[in-house]
Amino acid sequence: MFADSLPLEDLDIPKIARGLTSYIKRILIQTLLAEGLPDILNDYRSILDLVHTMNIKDLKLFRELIVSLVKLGVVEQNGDLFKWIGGEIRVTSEEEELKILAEPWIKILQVYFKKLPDLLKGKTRLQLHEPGIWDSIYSTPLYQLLWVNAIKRLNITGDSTILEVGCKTGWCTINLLNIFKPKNIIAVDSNQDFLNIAEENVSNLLPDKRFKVTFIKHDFTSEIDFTGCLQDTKPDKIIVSYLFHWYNESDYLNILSNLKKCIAENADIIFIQPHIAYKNQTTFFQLPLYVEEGFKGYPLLETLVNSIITAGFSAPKREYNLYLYSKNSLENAKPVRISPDPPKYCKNCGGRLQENAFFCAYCRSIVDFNINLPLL
Amino acid sequence: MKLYDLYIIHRDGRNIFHKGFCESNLDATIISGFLSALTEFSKEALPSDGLLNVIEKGNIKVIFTHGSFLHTALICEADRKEIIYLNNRLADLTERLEKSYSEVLKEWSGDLNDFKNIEEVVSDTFRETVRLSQPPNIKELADKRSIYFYSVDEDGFNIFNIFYKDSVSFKLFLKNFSIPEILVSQLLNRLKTAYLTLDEIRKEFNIEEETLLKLIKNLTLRGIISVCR
Repeated sequence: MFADSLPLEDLDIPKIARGLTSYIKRILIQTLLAEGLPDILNDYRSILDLVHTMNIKDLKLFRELIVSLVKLGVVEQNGDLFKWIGGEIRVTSEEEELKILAEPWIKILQVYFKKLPDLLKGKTRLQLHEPGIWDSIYSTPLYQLLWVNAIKRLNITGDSTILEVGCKTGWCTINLLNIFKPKNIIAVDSNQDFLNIAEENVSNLLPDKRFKVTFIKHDFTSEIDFTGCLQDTKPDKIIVSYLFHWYNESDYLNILSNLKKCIAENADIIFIQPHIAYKNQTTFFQLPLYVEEGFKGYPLLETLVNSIITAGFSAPKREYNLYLYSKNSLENAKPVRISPDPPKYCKNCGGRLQENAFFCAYCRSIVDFNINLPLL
Repeated sequence: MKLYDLYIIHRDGRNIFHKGFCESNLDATIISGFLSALTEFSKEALPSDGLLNVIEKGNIKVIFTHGSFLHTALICEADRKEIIYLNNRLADLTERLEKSYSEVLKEWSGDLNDFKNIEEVVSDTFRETVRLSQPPNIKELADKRSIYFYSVDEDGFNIFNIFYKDSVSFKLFLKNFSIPEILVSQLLNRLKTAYLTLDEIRKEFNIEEETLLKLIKNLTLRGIISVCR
């Protein structure tokens, strides 16, 4: 299904990030213009004052929104007071390029941002989980590129049994069958609606390979032992996709421990979770996702890494800042401490890194976090 | 999530309204009396201040919300996240109904004609929920074709345009079953303005039943077409 994709190194991720930032900035400005925020904030006002004036019910989210606007340069902060300074709303060339690479993602954000004002005013969150999101993003060049690079890390062969946790609408399953030709796949999701669509997608597009896939509804936080669903099968290649932001931090260890019980020793495992936060705060990237019922915020890097280690996997390596790779190891790894701040300087050339950069702008090496600091 | 039945029950146990989303063989009057009795029993017998919120048997859940005059109960299949969502929808519904019929509810004589337009309030509150829920299976849609209607609301139409109109995956599906793209657009445009049965669609668009059912399954599973009774 995938077209030949670019090597990841050729992708200008900082440029994509800039395109995304300018897009979010533009959409946020447009949304808040419609809500009259620039007029309300024409002079310095506190968040509490604004909450009262605008009849805001979700204080935490509203605070995050204002902080995001400060980061985007749309609102000026003076101590605890804020004032609208505005910003350009023209479409940038970087946005246009982003559109070519990831159009459905852009459209999704627009849908979410539209719902944000209602959410701030206390309307109940929406159960979006649109299958359309998952049916469409798999075909974007950006997703293909990221996905292929992550999956290659597993070294899947014709003898591999894959456990796919969070199979959504089955496109990863379809591409695994097509590209990597594993022995079989156990595709798991906690959402029955997604599983129905996944099954339909696989049956429609690869009817001759449908027999290789077992679809199972399961939530790894539940008390039901998943090994019972697998009978004697021990998957040796594990893909955990976009899972942790639907759970509380306290559930991570439970999910991972339950996962460990049912997989083969030394199984390779990747956690595709591109949005991992360094600090416990909302970024403007995740702001719109709070529109969805059940969204718990992106996992904190240190919490997720240490949950993986404590559950008995090897210390995960974060690659391309997009996924974590680990193994079901028997060795006990030590928990690590990770600075809440992303690295400021490139490990290779010492050049100063841009905020949230994936690549060093000087030597083009990949920015990685330092995971070698055992906790006392 | 899959919706089966919605009950709106007066606090004295009398059934005010029942809506079935999928075929079930339950008697609305018996069920509403049972659900009301269960709520009262839990209030009296269980050592907790709150009222009954969810009961569960296998996959089936009954989600309750309680207002000043009304109990609402939804029989469905739902996971934890979906229960929260459905609970919110039921709370919205209870609030809207108690506001709209506040005078009637204070001293209800038992005359169901007092609740004019209740179906519209329910349909409006549950419009998105119905769109997002699992449709009845294809066999049921085909066997009981006269009781199911198909429609497309604004959100469903937007989902199609945003995610599917130009999507590689949807085009692959259409190609596999030799369904022309133009036919899908025409069908959705038509269902935006009318509720049609399977036979009416088949006749109007001159499509083979098997192909039409495949297309309907695809579009209902994705929350584009809504199925209602």
